[in-house]
Amino acid sequence: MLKQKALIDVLGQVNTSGVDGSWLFNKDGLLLAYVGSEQKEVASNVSAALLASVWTALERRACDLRESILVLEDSTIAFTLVARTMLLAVKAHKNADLGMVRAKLHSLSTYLEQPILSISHDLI
Amino acid sequence: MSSKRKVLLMGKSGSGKTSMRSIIFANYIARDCSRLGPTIEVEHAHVRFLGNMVLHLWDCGGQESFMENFLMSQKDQIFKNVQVLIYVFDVESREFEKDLRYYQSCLEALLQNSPNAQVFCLIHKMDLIEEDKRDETFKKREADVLRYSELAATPLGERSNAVCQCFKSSIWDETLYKAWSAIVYHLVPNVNTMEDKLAKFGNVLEATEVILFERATFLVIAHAVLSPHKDPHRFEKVSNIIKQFKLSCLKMGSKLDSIQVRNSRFTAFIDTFTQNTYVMIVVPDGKVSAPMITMNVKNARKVFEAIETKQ
Amino acid sequence: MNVQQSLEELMLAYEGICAIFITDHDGGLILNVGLPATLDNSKFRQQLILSHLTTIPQIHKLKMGGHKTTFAMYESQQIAIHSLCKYYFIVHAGPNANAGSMLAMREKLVAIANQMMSVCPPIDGDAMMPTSIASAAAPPDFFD
Repeated sequence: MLKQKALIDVLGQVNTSGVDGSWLFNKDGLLLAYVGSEQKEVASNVSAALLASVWTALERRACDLRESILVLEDSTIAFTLVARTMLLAVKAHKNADLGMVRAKLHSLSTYLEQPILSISHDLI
Repeated sequence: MSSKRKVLLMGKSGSGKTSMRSIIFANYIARDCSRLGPTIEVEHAHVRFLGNMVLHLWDCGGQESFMENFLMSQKDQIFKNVQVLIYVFDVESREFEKDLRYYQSCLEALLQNSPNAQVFCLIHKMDLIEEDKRDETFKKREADVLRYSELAATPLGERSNAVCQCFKSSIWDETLYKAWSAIVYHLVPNVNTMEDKLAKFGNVLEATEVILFERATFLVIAHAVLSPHKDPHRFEKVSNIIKQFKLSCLKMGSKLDSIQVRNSRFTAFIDTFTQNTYVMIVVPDGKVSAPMITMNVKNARKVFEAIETKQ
Repeated sequence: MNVQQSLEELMLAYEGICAIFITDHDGGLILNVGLPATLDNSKFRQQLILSHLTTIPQIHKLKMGGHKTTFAMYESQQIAIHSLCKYYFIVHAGPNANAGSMLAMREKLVAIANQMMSVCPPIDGDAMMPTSIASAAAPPDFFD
């Protein structure tokens, strides 16, 4: 069972020093949880869907995509695969140090890997 | 392993037994019931319920000649091995005393042949009474029925639960579902285990209610209420609404799979659950993530399917 | 400045980089510089450009500003796509290349991009040389 509150706690832990949002969503773009600064312009479930489709497009080139980073004018987003079927994305302010952002992404995904794998292993 | 339950449906001719049965078990809508004619002798219906339970409904014709027969020559055949007796009273009947006497005879016959049977009395066709007089009328009838039940039971001494449960009902509103849900609730084995597990499930999801409906009839089989609610009639209302919706879907050639209802204060998910049930989960958060709940429901399915196959 | 030469120097300066190519915003190839082994990779290039072009409008819908860089890390390769002026600079490298330097390479590519803009300024913009890098692959005003 996945508890919404527990998931939100875990995701919220990376939102410090420059990192201001994290999403957990599946490859179809359906958002499971978003924790972070209020998304005024684009709703969190819309951005989850957009990120999922960007991932799918990048995956088309070669099936072994592990991680991706989008550097944009106002923010940087790093995202990676978790438990084979879900995507984890972390958003940071443009001045945040990329190495730290990636480190946070990796520690979150390692932490979430087992729990998510155990509840979704037969749903693929 | 299928378990058969014999359910007797009795009452005067024209009291509404066949209509009720058709709506609950045969996907009729209230309007369709005008087509039904009087039942001849006994109509047997075997209804699958909850997968491996078979409800053997004896819809006994209410015309006087048949009633005489049942109580005389066919007494043993009819009244043996019964789990549940449902006796239907037409609230508008002009011969209520006579109805009650027939009821008493049936009850006596029942208690002699199936001492452990449960008895439910439905005061039916309540829609024909003016709304503000309904409660009063029901209470009066209920008192009479209970009195006659005592009369039937006292000669047999120890039988303490001869006192039956009375419900008011009408095919035109949700009271029909309330009555039949209560009846069916007593027939479901493992109800307590299921409700415990439902409560645990609801806790994990942080839901305010989790309800289990039987798949074909949408009668409530089990529920866990984790947070009190003002309206005690909500279960039957929901049964009624979803059943109507399911029937409309069937008319268009498609089967109902799942429904999600959201507003700013809550989200409700109705989804197919085990082979024989639907589950309804109400969460007090209008923005809860649907895929998360769907994923949790999928995982819970396995546990509940295991409970079901144990019975 | 010889653009081709500068690109080659850049490519050889960093370990692991096997190709750099430049395209315009519609995906038309402008320049391709690569190690001999990668020279017949036109099919791969086309696929790369196409998939990048499909991601651009979606990235704009995120409303987080214009696109600067996309960096994708695969098991067997790394690809960085930088938007500079009116061009996309696509850098293809093996798994052993330094990710940080691939991202930082953007700074070095600025000069090359500026040079290219001065040689063939865009027809739709004003013909003056941009004094700073134009907002990289910025979403058009009438978007959405």
